[in-house]
Amino acid sequence: MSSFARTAIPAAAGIGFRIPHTRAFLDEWPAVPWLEVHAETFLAEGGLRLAILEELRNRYPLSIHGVGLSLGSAEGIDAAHLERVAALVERFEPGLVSEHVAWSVDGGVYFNDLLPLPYTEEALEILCANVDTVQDRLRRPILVENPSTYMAFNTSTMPEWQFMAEIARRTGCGILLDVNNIHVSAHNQAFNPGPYLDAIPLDRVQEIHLAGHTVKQVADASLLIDDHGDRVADPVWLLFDSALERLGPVPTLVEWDTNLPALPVLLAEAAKAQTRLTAVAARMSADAA
Amino acid sequence: MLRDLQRTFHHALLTGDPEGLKAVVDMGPIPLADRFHVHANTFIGFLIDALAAAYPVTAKALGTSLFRAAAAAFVRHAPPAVPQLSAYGDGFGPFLAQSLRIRPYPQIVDLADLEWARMACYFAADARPVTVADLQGIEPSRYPALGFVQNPAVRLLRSRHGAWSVWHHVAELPDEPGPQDVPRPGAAEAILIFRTAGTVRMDRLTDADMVLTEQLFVGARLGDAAAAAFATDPAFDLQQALFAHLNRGTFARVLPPSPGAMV
Repeated sequence: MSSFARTAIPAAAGIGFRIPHTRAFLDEWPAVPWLEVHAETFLAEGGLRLAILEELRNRYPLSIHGVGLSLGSAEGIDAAHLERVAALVERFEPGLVSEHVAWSVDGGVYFNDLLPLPYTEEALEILCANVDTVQDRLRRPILVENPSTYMAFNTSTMPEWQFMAEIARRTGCGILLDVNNIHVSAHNQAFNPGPYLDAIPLDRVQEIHLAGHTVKQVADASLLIDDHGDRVADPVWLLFDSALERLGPVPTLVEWDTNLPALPVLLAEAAKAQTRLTAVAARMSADAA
Repeated sequence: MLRDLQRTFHHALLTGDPEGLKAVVDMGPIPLADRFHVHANTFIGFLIDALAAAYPVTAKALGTSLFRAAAAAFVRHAPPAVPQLSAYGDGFGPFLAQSLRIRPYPQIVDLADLEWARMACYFAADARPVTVADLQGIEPSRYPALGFVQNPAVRLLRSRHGAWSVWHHVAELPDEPGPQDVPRPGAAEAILIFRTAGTVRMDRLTDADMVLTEQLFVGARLGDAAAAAFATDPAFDLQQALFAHLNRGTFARVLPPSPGAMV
């Protein structure tokens, strides 16, 4: 395996690698501290996709971010899919492996979306059992990402941040804190994001996600849609600053999936995150001195 | 129960009707329909995009509007069973063949089958192809008893309506032609789809070459496969055909003569 085998992801601003940027990467090998890829994009038996991932892996620390394990499915984890993801993780030995607090599969149908869960004890038990299954098979802890939500359920018995904290406490997994998702969910479900950061166990947060979202006017209100299709919005930068004040520098990723711009635009967005990470590191050093 | 909620959501996504979720979703100033639409749009919209990526020339031939309508119907008819979108789209050609609006254009159905074969080749397992040099170490008198194993990144397709010609014609058009302007169904074509340095390519084969290749892929030895090819066309140039296959990387392995075989 390459020199980056199981290399720790640095507390710096990386980007999500997307296939349309392949040519730009092969031409320039841009100076980016680390990359994250979607596991399911690279679940091929062979061919160019895996060859590209090998090339990336030889040059950058790598994180693998799953979008299809469906940790919240009541029917449990699809064993065949877990095997596919495990094979990818074993081959590329990423520094981090992460998934979502959501569900995507029911009755053997994959809905290609991160669907919402009720925050109940039953859902918590199911999700924790599924996280255990994944961690046992991968033989490593994973990170779980807080979702962006568009609907909340009247059966929920706890706030999302408590649900997240409990998953980490019960399974030993880490947390991937998506501050854009916090902003989106807080707006859509009308809650104050302040307590979210106070309630999350900071020692479990091993990665932060940043992304853009869309504002859609509906009736007399607005709905924020987490489409990863724009620059990071100002309120999300503020929330990122608040998170960094609590956490210090953390591996941070800028995601961009729809309306994908040219690579330099995405790199510039990551540079903004890096400026904040560098500033908070300097402040913490000064405080320590 | 979570299982019941997920079953209700499942039904809502396939039908596009969130009514069943009303009882369990917190209502606020944002209507349920708008909240639900985000998920429905992700489910259907992104899968249509995935089909458009898998079937770019078919999409062009049908035109955006007709293609997206057919793709949306396919998503509801056959939603994905696995999360990797590169595996999604098998069966789209036969599905199109059932469509009243597309049935009059069987060449476009064949085109879809061809594009799915291209997808299969693109994502297939890697294998070191058999080369001319591999055969040079074998005594020529033993050739008839050799077997040739299909490279996993190779597909053989019989198109009744000339999909190879239609693919090239439509792919080179600057704009969407609309199905009525796609070339009419042509003569049957034998098409070999293969992958070279990660790129999918395709060649038309002669009828005799098609027979030879088909026979080898199902396990016939070269002597028997060649005999079948000569029965199709007595003027078949076996040496040239075999050389072309070795250059394409059609085979992944040479099987030695089976024990006791007459060579």
